Amino acid sequence: MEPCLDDVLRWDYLNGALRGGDRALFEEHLGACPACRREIDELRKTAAAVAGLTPPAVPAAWTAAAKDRLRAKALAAAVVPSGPVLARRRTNVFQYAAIAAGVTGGLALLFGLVMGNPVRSWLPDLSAALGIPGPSAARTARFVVWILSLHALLLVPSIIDNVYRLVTRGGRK
Amino acid sequence: MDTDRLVEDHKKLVYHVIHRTVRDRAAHEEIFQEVFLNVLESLPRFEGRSKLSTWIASIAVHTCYKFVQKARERERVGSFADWLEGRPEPGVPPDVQESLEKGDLKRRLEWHLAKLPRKHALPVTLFYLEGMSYREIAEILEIPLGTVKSHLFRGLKELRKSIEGGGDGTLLG
Repeated sequence: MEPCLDDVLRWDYLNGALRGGDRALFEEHLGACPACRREIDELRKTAAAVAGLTPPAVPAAWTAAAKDRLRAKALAAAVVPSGPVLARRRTNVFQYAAIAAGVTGGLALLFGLVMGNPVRSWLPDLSAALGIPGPSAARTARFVVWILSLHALLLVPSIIDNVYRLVTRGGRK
Repeated sequence: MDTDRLVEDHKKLVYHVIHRTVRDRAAHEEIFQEVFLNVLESLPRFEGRSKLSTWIASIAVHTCYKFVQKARERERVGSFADWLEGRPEPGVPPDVQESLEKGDLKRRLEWHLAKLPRKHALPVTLFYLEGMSYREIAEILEIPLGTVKSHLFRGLKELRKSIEGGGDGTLLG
C-alpha cells in the first residue's frame, strides 16, 4: 500500500518536530486513517525499544591494544621525524639557498648599473690577474657585474618556481 | 595529544560503527585499531569545522568501507553509496542463535538491527544510541539532511517488519 504521507513528515511527527498548522493537518489525517495511526503507534514502540538498547561493551583488550599502538605511534612521531619530513626540510634549505643566491645576484646587477662609477674607487685591481687589458678598475667592475647579472638571469626560472612552491605549500596548511 | 583519552572518549562510537557495517567479526578488532591509527594520522588536518566525534565517526565509516572493499566480504562493493545500501548481516551468527534460544530480548533486537541495510542501521544507531543530530549524521554519511530523516523513518519501519517477521513481536510490547 502506498503511504498516505511523506516519510520526513511522519518522522517529524513521530519526534514531536511537527508544529502549528502542519501538526494539526497531520493529526486530522491520523483521525481519519487507521493505517497511519497504527503505523505511528507501532513505530513509537519500535523507537522506544531501540532507544533502550544497551550496546555490547567494547572488549577491554581492544581498548588497551589501541591505546598502546597510538602511544607508540605518537612517540615515534615526536622522537624521530619521518622520511617525508626530513625530505621536506632538505627541499626548503635548497629553496631558501636558491632564493638567497637570486636576490644577491639581482642586487649585484642593480648595484653595478646604478653605482657604475663609484665602484672604481674601491674595487681591487683584478684586471691584471684576469688578463683584461685597458683601464683596469672599470673593466674589472664591468666584468664582475656581467658575471653576477648572468648568474641572476640563470636563476630567474628557479626562483619563480621555488617561490610558487613555497606560496602554494603555505596555502595548503 | 592525549592518545589514551582519544581512545577512551570515542571507543564506543567507533565500535558501534564497525559493528553496524562490517560482517566479518574476526576483523572487528583490527579495524578498531586501524580507525584510531587513521584518526591520529589525520589529526593535524582536523580543522574543527565539525565536532571531533563527528569527524572520527566519518573516519570510522570510511575505514570500514575501505576494509570491506578490500576484503570483498562476500559482497560486491562499488561506490560508498552502493556500500551503504548493503546489509552486513544476512544470516544468524552462532552466538546470536544461542541468545535467541535463551530468549535474550535485547540481543535479539540487536540482531534485527544488524540485518538492516547500512544506510538505515547506521543512522538509527547514531541517532538513538549515540545521540547524534541529523546534521552530524548527514555529514558522516554524506547525504542530505532530509534523506537522514527518511532513512531513520524507513529504518524503524524495516526494523519493525523484521521483528514481526521473525516472530519477535513481544520485543516491542
